[in-house]
Amino acid sequence: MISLQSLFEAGIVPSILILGGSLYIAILLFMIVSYVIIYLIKRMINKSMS
Amino acid sequence: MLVNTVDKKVDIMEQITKSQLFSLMLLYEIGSTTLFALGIGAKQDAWIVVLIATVISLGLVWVYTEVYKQYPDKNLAEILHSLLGKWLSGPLILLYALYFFSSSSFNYFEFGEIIRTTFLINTPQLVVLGVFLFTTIYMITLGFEVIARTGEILMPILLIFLVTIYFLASFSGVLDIQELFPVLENGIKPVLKEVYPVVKFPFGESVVFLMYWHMMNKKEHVRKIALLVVCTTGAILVLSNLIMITILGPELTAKSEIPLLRVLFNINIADIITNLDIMGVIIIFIGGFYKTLLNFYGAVLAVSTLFKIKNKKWLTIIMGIGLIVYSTTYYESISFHRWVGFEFNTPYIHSIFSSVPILILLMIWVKNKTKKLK
Repeated sequence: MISLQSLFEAGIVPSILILGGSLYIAILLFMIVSYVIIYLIKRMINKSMS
Repeated sequence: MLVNTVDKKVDIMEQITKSQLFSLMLLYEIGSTTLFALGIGAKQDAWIVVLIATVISLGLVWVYTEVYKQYPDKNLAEILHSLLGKWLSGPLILLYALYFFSSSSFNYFEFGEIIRTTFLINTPQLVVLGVFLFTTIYMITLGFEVIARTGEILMPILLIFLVTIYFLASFSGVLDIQELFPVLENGIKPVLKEVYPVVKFPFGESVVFLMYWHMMNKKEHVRKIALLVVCTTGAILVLSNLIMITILGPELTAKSEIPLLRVLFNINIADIITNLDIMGVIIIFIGGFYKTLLNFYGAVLAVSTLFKIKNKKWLTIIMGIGLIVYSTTYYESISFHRWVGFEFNTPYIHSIFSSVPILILLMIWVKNKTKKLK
């Protein structure tokens, strides 16, 4: 695994890319999960209405 | 009125054909990969690594083209903007711009340094990099179609030289097929362990083409061309691995910094055809130049789309100066450069940024489904 020490040694740009990129992957995953939940709820409501 | 006509002219100009896209993608993918023996951690089975990685990469490139198919008139920055909204997409586009910029500076320094240390030993690094940069900026200011057309001219030259090297190497008498045996000596595990890095580099890097595919004149052919490029690159890399291993042996291939040049020094046919390193220079130069250029232009496009900058000329010049300053100050030596490449770029940075389109595609699918429910 990557250590903070080596990340620090690698410089500012790789650090931003790795930390920022990981954060974004987390955000996108969170968005996908929430989209799926919304989709399932909507489908449930649609089904119960019909 | 005049401005409108000029704008329209620019729009019409920036269109590329099938063969131009194929050439650019092939130049990009085989750009720096001919320098390394990819998957050499699996020793003599490196060619199997590349073969498996190519098959997996077909799936990855299919994902990229599927994202593009949903938004055929938009580049990656515009796709992110319309999918994630203004506030969420901004930082991600900026990260992508930084990623393209850092990849570009990585290649820029690498090729500048290789040419300086092997062929132009007494030339200062700044001169080599300066000439490189001047050509890059000049080509970008001329527009993408010019880049594509020159790519169309240079791609056959690169391929001819590569094939000639393989052909001459096969007839030089130094080739030993026995080096390839035993196949799968330690089982399939070491091979599978090496597959993932090869999928990310060079195939995962083709995410930059999401910035360019919208300029294609016949949009329905993009997927076919992209998949064809992956297959062709895979075939070239397998061949290149086979040649390197059979000539140098797996140990020497793994140890040498640029195995391609070692192969070239080994070619000697009747003391007449020798010193073929000039072919190596041409391959390194064309491949490296296009890789730097396309990554750099990707960064310029991302920044100009994000901040709605219409005059790309000045942006290119400013970012170009940034590129040379960053490359010369950040990379202390080629060994530091290699360390960053192997420890950070391939396992983490390429992984993150080539995986984001997969998540984007998932989001598009779920969004479309939710829309259909309405």
